[in-house]
Amino acid sequence: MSIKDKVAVIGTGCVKFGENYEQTYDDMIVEAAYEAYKDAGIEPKEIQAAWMGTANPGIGHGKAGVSLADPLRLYDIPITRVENFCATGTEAFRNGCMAVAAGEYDIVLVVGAEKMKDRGERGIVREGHHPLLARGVTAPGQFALAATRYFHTFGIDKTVLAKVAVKNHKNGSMNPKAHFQREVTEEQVVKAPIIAWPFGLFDCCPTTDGAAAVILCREDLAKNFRKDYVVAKGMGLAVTSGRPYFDPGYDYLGFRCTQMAAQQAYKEAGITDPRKEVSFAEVHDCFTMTEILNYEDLGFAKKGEGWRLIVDGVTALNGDLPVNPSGGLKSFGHPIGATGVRMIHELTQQLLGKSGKRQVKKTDIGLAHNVGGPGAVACVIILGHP
Amino acid sequence: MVGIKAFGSYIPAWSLSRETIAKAWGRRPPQGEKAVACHDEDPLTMAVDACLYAIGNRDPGKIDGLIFSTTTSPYKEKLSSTTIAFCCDLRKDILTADLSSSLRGGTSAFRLACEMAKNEAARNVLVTASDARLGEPESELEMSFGDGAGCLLVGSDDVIAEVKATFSMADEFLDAWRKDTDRYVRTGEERFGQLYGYVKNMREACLGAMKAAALRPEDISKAVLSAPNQQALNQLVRALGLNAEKQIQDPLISAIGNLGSAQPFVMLQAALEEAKPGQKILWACYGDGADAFILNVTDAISSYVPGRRLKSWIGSRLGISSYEKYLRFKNILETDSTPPKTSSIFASQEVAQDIRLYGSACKKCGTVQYPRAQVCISCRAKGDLVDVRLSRKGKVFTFTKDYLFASVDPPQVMAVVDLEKGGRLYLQMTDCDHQSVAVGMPVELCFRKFHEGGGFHNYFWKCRPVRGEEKP
Repeated sequence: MSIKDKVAVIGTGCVKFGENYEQTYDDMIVEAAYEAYKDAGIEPKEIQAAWMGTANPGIGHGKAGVSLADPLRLYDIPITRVENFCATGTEAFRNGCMAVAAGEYDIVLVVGAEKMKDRGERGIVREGHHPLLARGVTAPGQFALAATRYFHTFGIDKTVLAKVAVKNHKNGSMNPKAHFQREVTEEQVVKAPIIAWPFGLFDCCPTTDGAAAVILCREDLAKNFRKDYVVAKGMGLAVTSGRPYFDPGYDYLGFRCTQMAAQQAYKEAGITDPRKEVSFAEVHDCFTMTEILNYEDLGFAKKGEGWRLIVDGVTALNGDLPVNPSGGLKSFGHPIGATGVRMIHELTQQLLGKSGKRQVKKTDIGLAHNVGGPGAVACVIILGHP
Repeated sequence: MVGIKAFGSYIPAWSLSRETIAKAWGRRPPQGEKAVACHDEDPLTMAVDACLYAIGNRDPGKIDGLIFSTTTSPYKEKLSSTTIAFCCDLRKDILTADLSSSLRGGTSAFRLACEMAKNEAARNVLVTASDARLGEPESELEMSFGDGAGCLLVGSDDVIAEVKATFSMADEFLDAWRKDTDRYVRTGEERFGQLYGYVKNMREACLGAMKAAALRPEDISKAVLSAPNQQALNQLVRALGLNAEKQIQDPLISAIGNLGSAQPFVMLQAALEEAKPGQKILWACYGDGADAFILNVTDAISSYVPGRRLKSWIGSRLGISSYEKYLRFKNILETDSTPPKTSSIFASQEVAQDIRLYGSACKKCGTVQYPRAQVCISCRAKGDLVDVRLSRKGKVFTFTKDYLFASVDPPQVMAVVDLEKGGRLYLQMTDCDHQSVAVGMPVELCFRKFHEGGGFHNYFWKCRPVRGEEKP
C-alpha cells in the first residue's frame, strides 16, 4: 500500500513568524487555522479529525488535543497531539495523511504551533533530559559536533557554512511572513559572535513564535473544494538513537534518520534520482551545517560533497535545485511544531506558483524535511501535482 | 610489617597567584601562588583522584576499607567515603568512614587504618584527606589556603614505609575553628596559637614518637611536619633541634598553599618520592593536639613508581586570570541557575552507571557501550550484555565550545570521547584552555560535581586534558 496521490492539500495558512509578543499561542492557532479554512473554502464544522503538532504547548495548555480544541472550539471530534522533536510538524502532517488515506476521514486539519519566546527560559525548553548524561548539551552544541567532524574530515571551514546563511537570508528577504527579512553578508556571518563553535550567531536559526495549518482531504473529493491543489507523493519517518554521541560507531558526518526517512519517501513516490527529480526542497537548516548534511543525506550530493552545492550556487533560488526558497528555518524562523506544517504551506504555494518574488522555476516535485533532536528523528514529505 | 603500600595525591589544575589577590585588595604582593579547586570540584571529587592514583593498577576488589578526612565535607549528614569508594569501584562489604572536623583527621585515620592492618581486620585500607578551606576575602588565610587531596594505601605486606612508632596527644585549644554556621575559618591570636598550640603540641608529639622509636633528632632523615605557615614551621624546627636546611620537608605553601587536612599527605608524598631504603621519616600533623609517626623506608621503595608525581601535578596548571574569576569558582560571587530535575530513586538506580562508570559489553559482538543497556547497540542481541568498568582514558572524536550553556567558566567545551578499550562518552571538558582543544587530543576522565538538583549533590564524570607526564 502506498499513500501516493491519495491525499490532497486543499488549504493552508500561516501566521507571520517572529517575536509575536502581541499574539498568544491561541491567537496564532486561530489565525493560521481560519486562513486555511478560507483557503480551502470550508467551514470548521466540516473538519472530521485534527492533529496538533507542538513540542511544548503554550503556558496554561495541556499536553493533549485540548491545546487545539479550545482555541478553535473544535470539540467532539478526534484530536491527537503529536510530538517528535523538531520533526513534530511534518509528523503531524504525516499522521493526518495516513488517516485520510486509510479512508477513516474525508477532511482533516493539521496545525503546528509553538510559542518559543514565552517559556521563561532561553532557547529550547529542557524537559526530560538526563540530569547528568550529556549534561551541557544544547541544540547548537549537538549539531556543532557534526560540523567539527565534517571540517576535520573534508577540510571545509566557516566560510562555506556562511554561504548557507547568506542564501537563506536572501530568500527570507523576499518572504513577508519570514521572521528575518534582511540580507546578510558572508563577512557578517563569519565574524558574528560564537554560539557553539564553530557556529556563530548567523549559523543558527532564531527562537521564533509561529503557527501554520493545513487542510487535507481525500484526493477524489479535492475537486469539490478547488481546482488547483497538490497531493502527497511519499512520506518517510525514521527514528534513530536519541543519544548518537554515545554510539561508538557513529561517524558524525550525517544523520541516518534523514537517510532512512528519505529512502522511505522516495520509494513511495517512485523517485530514483532525487538530485534530478526533486524540483525544490524545504530542508531543516536549524544550523548552516545541517543544511549541507541534509543535501547529502537526502541524496542531492555524495557524502563529503554536499558543500559544493552551496558553493556552486546549485541550491540558490535561481539554481538547479533551490533549497529553502522560503528563507528556511534560518530566516523564516523555527517554532518547533509549526516549522514542518509551515514547510507544507511553502511547498503548496510554490507548487501552485503563488510564491511571488521567491517563486522557483521548476515545480514538479517539492520536498519537505525535518530532523529533530541530536539528529535522532527525521521526517520527509514529498508533494506534487495530481 | 604495617605501613604505607602506595600513595597518591591531587593538586587542582588551577592556581591563583598571590599577586592577583593582593592587587584586588591594594596590598603588597606576597610570594607564590595557591592551588584552587575548579568550580566543579570539592573535597570529595579531589579525594577520588588521589585515591585512584594510590590504587593505580591494583585490583580495587582487594581493598577492605576507605577512610576519608576533611574539614570541608560536602555533606553534614551523609558519607563521602562511600561515594569515593564506589567511584574507585571498591566492594560493598568494606568499612567506609568519614573523619571530619579535624585538620589531623587524616593522620588519625591513618593511625586507625594501621591498627586495622595490625589486627588483621583489613588487608588494604585507603586513607584519604582532602580539603578546600575558605579564607575570608582580604584575610591572610585567603592568601595561604590552598586546595588539594592526598591518599595513602595502608596494609601489612609490600610496604614502602613501615610504621615504627606512633604518638598522639589531645589538647583542648582554640587555634583555628569554624562553627557549623560559619563559612570562613576563624583563628585566635596568631602568636599565641603558634607558641602554645602548634609548637607546643607538635614538639611533644614528635619527641614522644622519636622516644618510642629510640631516635635522636640527628637520626631523622626527613621531618614531614604539617604547618599553617613557614614562620610557625621555623619555630618548631628550632624547638625540635632539627637542621632546617637538611632535614625538613618543604610544606609547599609557597607553591600550592596550606592544604588543610591534606597537607601532611601531600608533604609525605613529596618526601617519599625522594626517599631511599633505610631512611627514617618523622611525620607529624597538628590540630587540637597532634599525631606523630616514625616511618622506616623499606627496600620496596626502590621499585615503587608513583602514579603521578607532585612535580607533574604542580607543573601542569592553568592560571586563574582574575580575582573575580576566583570568587566565581568559590561561589563567593554566586551564579543564579535552576538545577535540572532528578530524584533519590533515579540517582539510586544510576549508581553503577554514573558513579562506578559501568557500561555494557556485548558477549556476542564485543561492542562496549554506554549508557548501560539490555539490547546491544551494535548487533541488537538481547541478554548478552555484561557490566564493564570503562577506561578513564580516551581521545576526543569531536567537540564544540558552547557559549549557550550556562557555565561558571564559559565556553563549556563538550567532547565526544572514544575510550581506550571501547565505549564512547559525551562529556563536559573541564580544567582546559579551550583554545587548545582539538580532534584527537588525549583526555582523562575525572569525577566532578554537577549541580544540586533534587536538593543533593549530583556527581558525574567529566574529561580533562591529560595532565603532566604519565606512568608508563
